[in-house]
Amino acid sequence: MKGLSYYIPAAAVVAAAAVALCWGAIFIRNLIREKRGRTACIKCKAVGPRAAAYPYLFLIPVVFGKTYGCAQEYLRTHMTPILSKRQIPTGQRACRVEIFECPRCGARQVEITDFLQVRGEEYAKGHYAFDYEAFAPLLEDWERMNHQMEVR
Amino acid sequence: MNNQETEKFQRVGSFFFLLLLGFGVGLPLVAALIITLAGGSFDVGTFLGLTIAFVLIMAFMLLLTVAWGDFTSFFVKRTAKRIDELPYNFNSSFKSRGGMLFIDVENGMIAFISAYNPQEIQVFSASRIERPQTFASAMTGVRFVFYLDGKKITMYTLLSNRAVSLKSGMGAEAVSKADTFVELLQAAKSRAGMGAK
Repeated sequence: MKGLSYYIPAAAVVAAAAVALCWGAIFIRNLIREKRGRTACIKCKAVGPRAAAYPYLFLIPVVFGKTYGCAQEYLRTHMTPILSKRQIPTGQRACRVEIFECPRCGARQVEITDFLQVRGEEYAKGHYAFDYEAFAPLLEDWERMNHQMEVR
Repeated sequence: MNNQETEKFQRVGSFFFLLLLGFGVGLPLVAALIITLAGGSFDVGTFLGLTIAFVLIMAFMLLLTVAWGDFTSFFVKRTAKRIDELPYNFNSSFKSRGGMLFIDVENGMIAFISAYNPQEIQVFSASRIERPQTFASAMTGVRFVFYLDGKKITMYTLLSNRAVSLKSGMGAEAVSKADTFVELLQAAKSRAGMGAK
C-alpha cells in the first residue's frame, strides 16, 4: 500500500498546471476585454466600456527603460499634455490615458498605458488603473489645450 | 576651428601601446623572474620558458579584454571626470566598447574619449561629423555609426552573444537609444553649421 507521500510530486505537478491554466485564462480574458475597449472596475470588478471617444496623450520626463517609484503619484505630478504622437521626442516615454465608467456602480477610472514609441510603434512599459478624480485636473488641462488648438 | 578643438582625430594613442607592452611583456617577464629566483638560483632556460608561457597566456587574455572594450575602461572613466573642465555643456553622453561620446547640441560640439586613446579628450566641432545613422540587426546587434575626419566610429547600444528580436522590449529600447543619439548628432551638426554662418 503506497503512502500519501508517494503522490506528492504528481499532486504538485497537477496543482502547478491548474494555477498556470487559471492564470492563462485570466490573461486571455483581460486581453480580449482590452481589445474590445472594455475593462474591469477597480471597485466592483464589473466590466464596462470606454467613456471617452479618444485617448488622452501625455509626456513624462522618463527615457528609454528607466523606472520610477509610486506610479500614481509620479504620473499625477509629472505628466504634461500633448495633442499627438508626433510631439513625442525620440527616446522619451509617453502615456495614453483612457477613461472608463462602470455600468454597475457608476465609478469612473482612468487606464494609463506608459509606452516608449520606437519608429512609430508603441512598446508598453506599464499599465495602471486609478481613480478618475486624482487625474481629473490633468485631463481638464488636456481638454483646454485641445480646445485652444481647435479654435486656432 | 577654435583652439579647444583637436586638430586630427586619433583613435589609437601611444599610452595604449605602452599599456599593451606593459601587460603583455613586462608583467610576464617580472612574474617569470620572481618564480625563477624563488627556486634559489637563476636558470636561463626556466626563465625563458616561463616568460614565453606567460606571454602567450597574457596575449590571449589581452585579446579578449581589448576586443570586449574593458581593457581601458578604468582610464576612460578617469579621463571622463575632466570633461567638466571644458567650456562646453555636454548634456548627453554615451559609453560603449569603442569609447565615450559627449554631445553639446547648443554649441554644436562633441567630445570623444577613445578606448584606444583613453588619456585624451578629443573635442571636435559637430560640423566634422558625417553620415550618422542607426544600424539594427537581430543577429549583429544595434549600433549607431558616424564618421569623424573620415574615420568610422561605432557605438553599440545592444550587443549580445545571442539573437535579440528588435520587436522585444530590449531590442526596441536599443533602437530607440541609437535613434536618439543619431538625432542629437544631427542636431549638433546643424547647430555647428548655423554657427559657422
